[in-house]
Amino acid sequence: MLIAIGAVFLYAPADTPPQMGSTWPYVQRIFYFHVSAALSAGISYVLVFVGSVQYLRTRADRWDRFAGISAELGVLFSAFVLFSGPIWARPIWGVFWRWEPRLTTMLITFTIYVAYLMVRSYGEPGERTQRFAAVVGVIAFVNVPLVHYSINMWAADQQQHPVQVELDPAMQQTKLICYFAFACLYFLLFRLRLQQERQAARLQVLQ
Amino acid sequence: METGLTYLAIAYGGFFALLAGYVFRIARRNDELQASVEALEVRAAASTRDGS
Repeated sequence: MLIAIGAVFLYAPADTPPQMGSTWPYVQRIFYFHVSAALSAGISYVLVFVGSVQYLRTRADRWDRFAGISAELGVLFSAFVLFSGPIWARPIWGVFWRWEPRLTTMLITFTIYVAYLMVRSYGEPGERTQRFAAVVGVIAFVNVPLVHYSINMWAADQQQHPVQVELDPAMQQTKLICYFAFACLYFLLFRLRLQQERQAARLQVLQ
Repeated sequence: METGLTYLAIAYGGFFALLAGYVFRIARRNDELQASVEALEVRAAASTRDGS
């Protein structure tokens, strides 16, 4: 993560690519963590779907834990995407928020997964809640490809996100370093939470 | 300070605040689990004493 921060602040150029239309220096540096967090959130939601389907097939607790932790991380990274997006958008669009397809679908996805976590938290502990959460986890996934393909699916006059941006090689390398740093962070947080959930499950059996 | 720098500081500050909050939540849950384990050990030790 330190290497990624170093690359973002010391290696990557401060100027925004001309296709993005911003003249403010420095704000381009938000892009690296914003896009990496969005990618991590997308992967999390795919893992929630995999965990939910596997739970419905096998009824094994480990898949339920897998889906739950993935959803938590997905919400964490999506929260950052929804926080940093408007900050990055302000100098480019002139406003913090626009109800354009990608932002709107991302907000809907975030809300659905928050609801998923609420189902898990407030439901009675047991098989019924796990099954219900898994069904929500499968249905919620319908929205994830919509976020990704929203820039192609909606009419061009409603779009604000650039479809294709030519990046400077240093920007491209910084982006890849950030992807790697976020993958490591994701793995670390996932492992920590998984150990914790296993310990909690063992404790429940002992009690 | 330039507006661009302020926005940059807010964005990255937000990221690390969010991450710190999540790690703090994990640590707090760890403490709760540890306390439950200790309570179980005390209970187990007490029941062993009573049985002997």
